[in-house]
Amino acid sequence: MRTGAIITLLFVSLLLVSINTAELLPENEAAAAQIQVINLSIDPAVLMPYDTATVTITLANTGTKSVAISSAQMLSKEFKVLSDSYRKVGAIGAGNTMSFTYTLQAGGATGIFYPIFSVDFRDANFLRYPFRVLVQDNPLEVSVLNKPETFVSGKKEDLTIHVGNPRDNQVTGVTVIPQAGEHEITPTSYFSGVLAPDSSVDIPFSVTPYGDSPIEFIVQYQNGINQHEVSYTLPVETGKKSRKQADTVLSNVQVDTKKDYYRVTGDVTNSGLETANAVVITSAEPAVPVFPFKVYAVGALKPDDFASFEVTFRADGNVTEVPLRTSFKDNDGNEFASDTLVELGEGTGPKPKQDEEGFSPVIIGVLVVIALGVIGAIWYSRRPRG
Amino acid sequence: MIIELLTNPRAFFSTICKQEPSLKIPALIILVMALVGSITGYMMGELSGKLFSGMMEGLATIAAVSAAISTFFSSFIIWLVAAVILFGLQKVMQGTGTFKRVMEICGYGMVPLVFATIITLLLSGYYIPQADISPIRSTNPEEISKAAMSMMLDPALHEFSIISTIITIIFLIWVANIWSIGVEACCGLPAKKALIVAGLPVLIYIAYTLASLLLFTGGAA
Repeated sequence: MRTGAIITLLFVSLLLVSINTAELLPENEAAAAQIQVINLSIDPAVLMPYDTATVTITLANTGTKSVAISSAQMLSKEFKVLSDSYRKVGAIGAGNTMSFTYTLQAGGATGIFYPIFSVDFRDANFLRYPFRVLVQDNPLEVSVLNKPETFVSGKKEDLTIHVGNPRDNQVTGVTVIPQAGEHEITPTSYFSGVLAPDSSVDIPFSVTPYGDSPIEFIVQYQNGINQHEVSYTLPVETGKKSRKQADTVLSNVQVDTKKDYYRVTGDVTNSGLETANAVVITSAEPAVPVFPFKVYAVGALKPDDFASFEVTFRADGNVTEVPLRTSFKDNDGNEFASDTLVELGEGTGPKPKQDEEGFSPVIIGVLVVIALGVIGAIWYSRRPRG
Repeated sequence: MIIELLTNPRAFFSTICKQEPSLKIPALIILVMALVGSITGYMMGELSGKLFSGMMEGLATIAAVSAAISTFFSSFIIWLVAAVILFGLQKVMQGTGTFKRVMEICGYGMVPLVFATIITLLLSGYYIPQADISPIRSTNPEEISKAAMSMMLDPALHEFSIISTIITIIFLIWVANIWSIGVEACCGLPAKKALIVAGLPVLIYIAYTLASLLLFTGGAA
């Protein structure tokens, strides 16, 4: 029994010695030395944390003898190798090339890393090839250009989203998607495509706000096969008056009292910095607009222009103030209105409508007196005198 | 003198006829009538100018002054035209009056019209402020024409037109009376012929005035 064990141990030892002496043959070493990496590509060229990349390494046999490869594998502490190692690769013939593709996934760390591509030759040594992989955590930059100073509910405004690529590699499939919510935004999304390193793109949007909820612009893009997105939130606050918006001011207002209605004349001036289109003036409750000037259409008023207006309305005797409603439209057709109170004064109301049938008795009396006086004068002038 | 003209025109013209015809006092009478009438003309012109005040600044003043001037000169023209008509008619009736004499009679005879213009001025001060005139802001001739017609149909102006016409007619009858006595006294015509010479143009004028009033105002108020 003991003798058998010793024989077996000697046999194994001899086998191992024979194998070692067989792998490290000088001619195999010389042939393996002709294997070199001729190409390395990483897609994407620069990763972001947790991105997945494909690495393709091409080996070429520049020698005159075929070289057998036992296995090829990717080694890295910082990257997770998602693809399998190459086992039982075979041989690379003289003058041939062979490519090896691996899928790597970056970790959360950023920086420059050096994974190792290792090739194990049969009957020869190894090939170890460390290569550089850059991981950057700098997403696309989003900002807003040409934003209106204020938003007015229902008024269409133009704004521009500016998307820049601060990365060292290009990104693809750049798409900006605004989250409209209660607002109206056109276009509903904008596809920009490839964005080269250190370049930017301006994307126009038209926003018609209907409330104060903010607008989120989501920028989606791809780094290689990895989908990323970055967002920009644009605050919207309606109700604030624009500094440039047209503004109508009524002045030189005069109230005349007619028989059964009021007549208000005056000037309307555009004190804003934009054109007021379709300016219309009328009276509002408690007044009741009446002809001839129920509504007075002024038309367009450029900044600092003014025009005369005239409106007619009825109001109860106890009404002392009446609002004059001035409305206009901006260049997008949005309508704005403002009220200006006009004092009617007390006790100056329209006189009750007189009976228009026939003259007043006083006038008739005066006419009769005049007629009788003239008849008397004629009679007196013609009477016979002695 | 004027009192005698109004109360006893026959005696007045008998005295006048003995003297050389003079137009100084008649011209003075017409001047007073023209001045008073031009004030009324100014007020009416201002009112008409308001109608177009929306088209041009100061148009109301221009219209008022134009109306006052035209009213002033029209008084003298009326005097001249009336004198020509009276002279022609008295010649047809074989009167002996010269044109200057007839013009003198005509001028004196228009004294009642001074009262008429004064009364009309007072009435215009009452009625014109009541007129409801809205300025025209359109340059469309059709709208301007409509607005001008609506001005004439304004109740206050309508009433004023009728009353002033009635007053003018009443005082014209008085004028015709004075003219007929003057023609009778100074042109050697019998009373009937003198009445025809003085009354015929006045009657024609009254008929014309009433027809115009009915045409432009659409009848009585």
